[in-house]
Amino acid sequence: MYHDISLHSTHNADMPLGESPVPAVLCEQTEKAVVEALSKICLSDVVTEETYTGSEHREKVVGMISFVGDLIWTMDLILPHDSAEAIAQKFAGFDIPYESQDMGDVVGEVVNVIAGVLCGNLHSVGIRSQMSLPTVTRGNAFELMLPDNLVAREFYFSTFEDDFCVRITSMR
Amino acid sequence: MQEILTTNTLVAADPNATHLNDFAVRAMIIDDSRVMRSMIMQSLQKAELAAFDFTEAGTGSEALDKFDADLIDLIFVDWNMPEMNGIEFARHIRSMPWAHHIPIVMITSEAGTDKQQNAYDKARISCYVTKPFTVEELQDKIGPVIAAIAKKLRPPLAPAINAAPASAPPAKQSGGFFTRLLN
Repeated sequence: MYHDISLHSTHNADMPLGESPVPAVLCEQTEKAVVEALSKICLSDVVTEETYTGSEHREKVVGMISFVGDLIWTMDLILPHDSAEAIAQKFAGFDIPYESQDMGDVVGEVVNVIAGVLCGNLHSVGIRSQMSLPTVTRGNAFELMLPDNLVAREFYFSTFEDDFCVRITSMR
Repeated sequence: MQEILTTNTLVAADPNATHLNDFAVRAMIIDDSRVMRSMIMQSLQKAELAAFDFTEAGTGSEALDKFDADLIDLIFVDWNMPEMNGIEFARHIRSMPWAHHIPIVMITSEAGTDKQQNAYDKARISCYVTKPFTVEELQDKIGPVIAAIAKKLRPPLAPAINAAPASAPPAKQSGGFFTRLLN
């Protein structure tokens, strides 16, 4: 299940679900790649959700990556504090404190893995893409400020520990 | 000959050894993520394919600075890295006549079959591992690479070991086997 951005975005709030110009194939393949990659990392089911508690002003870490090719878009992996620590522990095999520098390292790797699966899945349906290096931000109350020519969608998931969100932003 | 026998610990410790743990492989791990480098090293140790002696580098260019073909038996490299990516690094190594034989394992999040083929074709890598990986996947994919390294070492040493005097000092496990072999 995916959702148009409504919080802090002036451009998507009034757009009915299904009429967003974010390509449907991108929405479908993003959802698939997140479930596939994170289920393997967490060794447990990752499922799509209707809601996301992280939209509250909670501390979170965000891994960001950009793509070019037949489509141009960015993907943000938004992990609230507890999800970040749980996924990092599963990925690395040892505890990584939320406040540590290593948390950025791991979240960068995790978003990189999702992006790699996504590029592979897109290639299998005939869409070429290339990804950038990841960047990671930590904090709370992030505000998405979209230029007029961009649109965004959010996808909500939950795993064994907590919920999290993935956002894609693409050209209109 | 005596020098080789007494300094090469890997086979001398057990002339009839057949298990890959009898070898200490000097591996270079190149990844811009410190956590990822730790994970690769831990997973390789858990895989129990061989004893490893690790050298780490955070970028392709740092790896080239540290690289010495006489001191490295196997290279693990990430694809997406700043400064010099894994493909560029592998092509650089393949262009060195004195180093082009060293196996290169690409460990990357690039999961597409096109990317994988590209790495084999353009960088002539030896093996491709997709992140996230399990210890079992490492055993399956890296095992044959380690076995090939072991095979290269064993034949020239085996006759020499058979001729070793019974009083030869006990072997000590240190350093890499190619250097000792070449000595």
